[in-house]
Amino acid sequence: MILNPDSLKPIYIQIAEWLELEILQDAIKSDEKIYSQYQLAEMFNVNPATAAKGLSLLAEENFLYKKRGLGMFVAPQAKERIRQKRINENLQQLVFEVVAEAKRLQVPPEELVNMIQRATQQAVKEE
Amino acid sequence: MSFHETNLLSVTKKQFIYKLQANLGILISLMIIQLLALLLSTAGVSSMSVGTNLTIINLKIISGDIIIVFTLIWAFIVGYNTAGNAYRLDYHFVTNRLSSNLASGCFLLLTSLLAGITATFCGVLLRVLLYFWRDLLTTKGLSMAPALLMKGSYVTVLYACLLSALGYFYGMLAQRNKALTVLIPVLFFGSLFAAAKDTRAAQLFRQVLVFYFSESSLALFTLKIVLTVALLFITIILFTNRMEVRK
Amino acid sequence: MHCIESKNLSKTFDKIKAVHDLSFTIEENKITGLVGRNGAGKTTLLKLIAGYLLPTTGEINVFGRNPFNNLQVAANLIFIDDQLALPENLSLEETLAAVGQFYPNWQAELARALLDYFSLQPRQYYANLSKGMKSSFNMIIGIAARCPLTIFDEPTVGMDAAVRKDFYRALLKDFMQYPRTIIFSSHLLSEIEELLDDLLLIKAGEKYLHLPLDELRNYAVGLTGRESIIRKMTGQEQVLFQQKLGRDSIYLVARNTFDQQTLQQARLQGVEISPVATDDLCIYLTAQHKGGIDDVFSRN
Repeated sequence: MILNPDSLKPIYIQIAEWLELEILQDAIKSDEKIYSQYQLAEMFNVNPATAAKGLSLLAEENFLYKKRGLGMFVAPQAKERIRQKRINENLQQLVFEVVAEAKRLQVPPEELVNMIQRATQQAVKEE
Repeated sequence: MSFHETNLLSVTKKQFIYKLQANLGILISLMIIQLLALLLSTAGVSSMSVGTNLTIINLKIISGDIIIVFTLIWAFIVGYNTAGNAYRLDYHFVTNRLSSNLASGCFLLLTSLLAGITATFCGVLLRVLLYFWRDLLTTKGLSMAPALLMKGSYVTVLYACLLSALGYFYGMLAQRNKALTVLIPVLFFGSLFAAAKDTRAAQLFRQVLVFYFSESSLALFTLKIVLTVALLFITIILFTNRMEVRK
Repeated sequence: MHCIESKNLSKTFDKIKAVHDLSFTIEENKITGLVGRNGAGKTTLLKLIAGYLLPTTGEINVFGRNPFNNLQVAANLIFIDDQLALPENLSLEETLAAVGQFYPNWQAELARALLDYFSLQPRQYYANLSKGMKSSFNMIIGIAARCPLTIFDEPTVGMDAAVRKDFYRALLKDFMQYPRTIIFSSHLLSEIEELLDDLLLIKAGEKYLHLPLDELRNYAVGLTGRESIIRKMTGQEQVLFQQKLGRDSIYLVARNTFDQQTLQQARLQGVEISPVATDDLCIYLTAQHKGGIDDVFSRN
């Protein structure tokens, strides 16, 4: 996985989000061991301290718990809580940006909703 | 990450070995100049012709002196180069000025030892060559008693030490101030000419030469050389200790 | 524990202040990047840290000691730049052996493996190498020595991009295996920034910034849009860079002292918010003119 250097987001946040995605997609399930800071540092080619920061972000929100001497593990319910968080924060933010762009282009709300519906149908078809 | 404590002795040892490895070519240069000196020596140190109408006698005096002189010049140059190398190479790795100078000193001691011994034995080689190659009128002085050989080596080694130390000193001064590189030879050779004349400087110079070269007691001679070399090195150590690393 | 501590450090050469009143600390086992314009005093600072130069005023402590002419410090430090002088008569593999004996942590196998990887022949001579290959060899020494303080001063001169990438990775991997304090001075900040913990930015011999990389990324923000709107948001002191785009649009880089609402509002008003690349940021911070080189061409 390549990081996006042009993103406004610091690298540790990008790593944290990638880990959240892994949990959401069941690549790492509850009570399974998550990647260590050194594994992440190697995968993303970054300083291990940066990777550790990403992990601690998740730990702060209690998506991970620590087992002494063994490392960090995915908390139970983490997947659902991450999902909620993403909806309330990330998705909401994206919505906001879409609205801003629509406003800039003077696209009325009803047309915007139509566009979203069409896009949703398209996504369903491609599944 | 652990901090590693070290001491002067182990660092000096490592630097000494490093200098040996970095300067192996020096031995070859020693051999070459001694061979050259050898060849030149076969032409004789001095010659004389005596003749009448019917016979002409060409007298050639051959000695190993040229070999010694060449070797001593080599020792001086090695001293000079060692100073340049120490300045240029040492600081990149583990060193301080003291360990660098000490290691250089040990290195020069070794080279002087080698130089002195090989020079004497080169002289022996000369005699051997001439014995087989030329008709010798007299074999006086052809064989040398082991004691004489040892004494000769010993003295040559000490002279080599002195000259390497002088070369090193000169080299260190030159690193400090490039202008001195020119100034000192000028002063030196100038005073040589002055030595022919009766000036105060000339007299002083002659006295210095007599001090070293006319010493007959081996012990005293050793003492003089050792003290002079020690003095030179102590001076170098004292004045390079605050020297920064500059290009 | 502080690996390096500097207090009001100054170094003057013939009335030119190369380093002036510099105070900072560098913690151990972190990778710190050192950036600044040419002639800003980076190399002088590194040489003061390495004990090659004496401070004119102020003090510098490495491992709690004065590094000048100090055997203890020298034994735990290595300084790699493009002026590394090596014995001319030794081949590459002999040089590695000769140099390795100075360092108790020396990794002979790693050095040999790196030599092979970068296509350097063990029997070659250093003097015959190209500039890039010399830099590669120098960096191999720097990494394999595993000194508690490892300093690299523009070590990638002459290396092509692929080799540079490999080296950053080699350095990172060895750092993870054996943590140590690393200072890396380079002009190619964009290439090394993911490697770094902290960044020390030097401007005209003085410390301008010393921050962790993450904070640096949030230090400033780029605003693109109508000049009138943007000017209302920012005070002149905050502006780091500005450039006119068209009739009444500008691109402006300002210190990021805005909260989320201000930025949201700006977006709603059509202002585009963009991140500022770290190397661009450093350029703006160390610039003389707020408009960059365009000022020269628009002096009428």
